[in-house]
Amino acid sequence: MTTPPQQPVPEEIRSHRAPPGPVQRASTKASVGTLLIAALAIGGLIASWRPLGGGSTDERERPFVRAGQVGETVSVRVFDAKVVSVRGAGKVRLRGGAIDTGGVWILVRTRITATDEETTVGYAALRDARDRVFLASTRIQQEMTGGRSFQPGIPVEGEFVFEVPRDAATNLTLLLARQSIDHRMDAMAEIELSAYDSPTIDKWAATPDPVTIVEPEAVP
Amino acid sequence: MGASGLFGGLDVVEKPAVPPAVINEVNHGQPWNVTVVRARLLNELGDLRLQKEGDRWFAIVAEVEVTAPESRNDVGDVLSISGVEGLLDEAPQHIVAVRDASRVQYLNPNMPERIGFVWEQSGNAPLPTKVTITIYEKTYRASTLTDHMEWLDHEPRAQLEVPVEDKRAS
Repeated sequence: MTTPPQQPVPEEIRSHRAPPGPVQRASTKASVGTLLIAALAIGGLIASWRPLGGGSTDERERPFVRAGQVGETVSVRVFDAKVVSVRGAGKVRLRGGAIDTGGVWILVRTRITATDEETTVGYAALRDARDRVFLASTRIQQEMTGGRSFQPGIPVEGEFVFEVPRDAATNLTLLLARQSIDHRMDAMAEIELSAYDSPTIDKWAATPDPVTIVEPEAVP
Repeated sequence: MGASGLFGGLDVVEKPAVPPAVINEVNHGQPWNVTVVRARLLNELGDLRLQKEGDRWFAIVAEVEVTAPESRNDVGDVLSISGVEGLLDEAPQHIVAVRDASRVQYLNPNMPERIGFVWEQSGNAPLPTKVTITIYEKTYRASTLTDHMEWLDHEPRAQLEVPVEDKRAS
């Protein structure tokens, strides 16, 4: 058996172009550098461009508001809320001594009914006509917000208690939500309270006897 | 840095001095107006209990009015002190309302409250005769991290020196 003679491997021809000279190599490097700088500049512009910047994220992720009036039931998915009545005072009391205020106490009697599961009302606040927001007072034990849980289908009535300046008390809106801090894209009740004139507010604030806060109770 | 070194390096820039404030005068700003009223040494302070027998209370009384449009729970950021040795903690151990000694958690907008910022001072520490109080501010702006509007940039706003009254019962 004879083996065919091995043919020499032809040298691989990579290009028919002449190898780049020093000027061409420098030009290529400069082009790459230019492209790199352009890419960084465009990337920087994109990074600094905020189509929804300047705090508008708050607007985009604002709570879903369910508005209502005194006497109306407002549903915020996990609970229903209905303001039953509003009263004011210069001093309040809950099992302890009387507590005064530099403004006026506002007590909002509200009926809360959890809808499908046990829940809490973590956030209770009053907003005035100047968009100032006053959280439920921490100077007294709040019985309707914070740790208290509501069972589904069992309406509970009690008072949310707030301390506001007298000039704020004439026009107020009650805000209620499940979460205490993070309200982004969550349901929030906004219940407009009745308007009161300044003499009424002054009369509430000047009442010497403390008002006893109504403790929560289940209602039919 | 190397290039700037050829021309003498970078200039040293001094931190701008904190503007002065005056005792018993309102220092206006955001998110609160602050009026420093007094500084005192005390043996007893309502229901508060000292951690160590022989220690004493060091208290700053200031009137704070929230100028932000919502209730705030960061009253501990209103001021800091320096020049008093032997404090058990840098931050005040207690922040109480002067009118009823209740602990202050939230302050409401435009409802000025006279507040006691209280530290426990070691009984072995020298008695202070004066204290330097720094009042702070914050800025409401969009966070670069979250884009949410927040009160950020907790920075000194004003500074004052206040004499310390020794009100300890003999």
